[in-house]
Amino acid sequence: MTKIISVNDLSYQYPDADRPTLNHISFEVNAGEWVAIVGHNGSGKSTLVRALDGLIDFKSGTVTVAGTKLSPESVWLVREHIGMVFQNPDNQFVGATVADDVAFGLENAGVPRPEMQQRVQDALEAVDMWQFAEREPSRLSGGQKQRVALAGIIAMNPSIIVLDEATSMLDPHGRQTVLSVLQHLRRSNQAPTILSITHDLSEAAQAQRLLVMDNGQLISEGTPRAIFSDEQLLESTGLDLPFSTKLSQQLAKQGLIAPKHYLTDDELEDWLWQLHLTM
Amino acid sequence: MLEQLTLGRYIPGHSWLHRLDPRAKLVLACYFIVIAFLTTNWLTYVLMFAFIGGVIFLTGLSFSYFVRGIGPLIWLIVFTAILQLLFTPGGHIYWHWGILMITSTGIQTSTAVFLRFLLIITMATVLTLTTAPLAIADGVEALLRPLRVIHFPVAQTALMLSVALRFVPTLLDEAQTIMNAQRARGVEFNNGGLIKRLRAIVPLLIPLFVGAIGRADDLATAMESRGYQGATNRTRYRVLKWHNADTIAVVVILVLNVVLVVLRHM
Repeated sequence: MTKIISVNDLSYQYPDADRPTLNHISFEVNAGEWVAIVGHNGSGKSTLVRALDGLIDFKSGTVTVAGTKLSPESVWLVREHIGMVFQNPDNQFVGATVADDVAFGLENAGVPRPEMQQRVQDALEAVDMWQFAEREPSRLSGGQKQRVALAGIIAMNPSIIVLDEATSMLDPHGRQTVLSVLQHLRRSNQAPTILSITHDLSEAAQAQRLLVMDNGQLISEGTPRAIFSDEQLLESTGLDLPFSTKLSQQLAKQGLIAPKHYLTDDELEDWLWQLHLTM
Repeated sequence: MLEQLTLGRYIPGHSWLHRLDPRAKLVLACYFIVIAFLTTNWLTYVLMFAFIGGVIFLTGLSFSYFVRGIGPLIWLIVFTAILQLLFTPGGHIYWHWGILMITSTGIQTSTAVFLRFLLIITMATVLTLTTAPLAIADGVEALLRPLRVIHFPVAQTALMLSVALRFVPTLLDEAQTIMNAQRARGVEFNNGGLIKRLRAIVPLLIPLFVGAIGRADDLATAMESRGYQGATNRTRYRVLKWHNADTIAVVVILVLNVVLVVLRHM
């Protein structure tokens, strides 16, 4: 498999900080993979993805994106490969209307107007927001704004989509609509690589691989199943347990011992149904 | 309190005037304001008021919107007119007390000031009621474009203007949230004397500024990640189109100008 992101021995310290925010980080992401980065506040997750996009000026280590080594000269080339969606829906909405906002990246890239109109419409249809094209952002919900932000990224057709806690300020319904857009994208022909930072473990469970960060270091990586089964790791990094794990623990206290490995919500539900049959 | 602060008071609609090109509307509104000063005799005033009446009719908006638009400024107009009335010497003196006097010239000039102000403000209200703030920003950009010759950053200014307009409702919302939070902590915004009220504004403004700076930082990061490198080589999604209706509007106002000049000499 081709590596689309390679990070090698990356370190970074904010000018006024007393300890490094990123401490000798190395990892790789395969093209087409969905990787989630988890870790508590201040563990360096956001700084890490900002470094990938050249949004912070790191001094040591290398970042290579789609074959291009990140440097002050190549930063705009690298940014063409990466589309980022940030946490706050309001603070990344540049355009005065939905369509204007989706067009912003295309305008920056100098895309001719007729092509731009088509791509804006296609992207808005992909996130089911075309009927709101002329709306102003103040008349949209948080989930709708984040879908518009995603449309702005989709219109640019980048090979990598980075979500920096993009769903953390949304209500459960808004979060679900954003996630379903991502799942839909994953099923398309040119499935983008997704790198998502999240606190929501049920969201992280959708990824193929998890990177766990603590104190500026990458302390563990593995499939969601492996990570969620490692209760010690989850507790030592201050991460919440996924709902299904919590439920298994409570059931164990009642004398119902669920399988030891991590189960998704659906798997646990199935197990419970079958348990009823065998009792 | 904040709901009344809506910028421009734009009322969406589909009238002929709503659909005019914002460039045309901006230029024509300015042109009308200039020729409003050509009014001399009662015929010219009748013509101008008939014209503005026609324009108001064409907006398709209820007359009450215009009354509300002019309302806050009426006292300023009346005040200016009264000053003109009391301090203009010349002609027949009807009444005087110290330096104050009412003269025939004073009555004429103050009436002229009152009527011209009314024309100007009504036209400005027509512009803001029928043109979305974003369209006005587009129009201003197009009209400023010649300034690029002297290296004035027209595109950047236009983007700044459009981002500022886009953040008005966001910041109003935030101000409302902060006000509610401060009210919950016992701050009174609507009571007490002037000094007390001004003091109450401080705990509102400081968090609002801190928040706005944080938002600006986030927005700059988002814009950079989306490839914004200043104004070079950008294309435009939104373009203005000049229609026949815009040309007709220009012709109409030129005809108005000619008729006005003719009536002046009657």
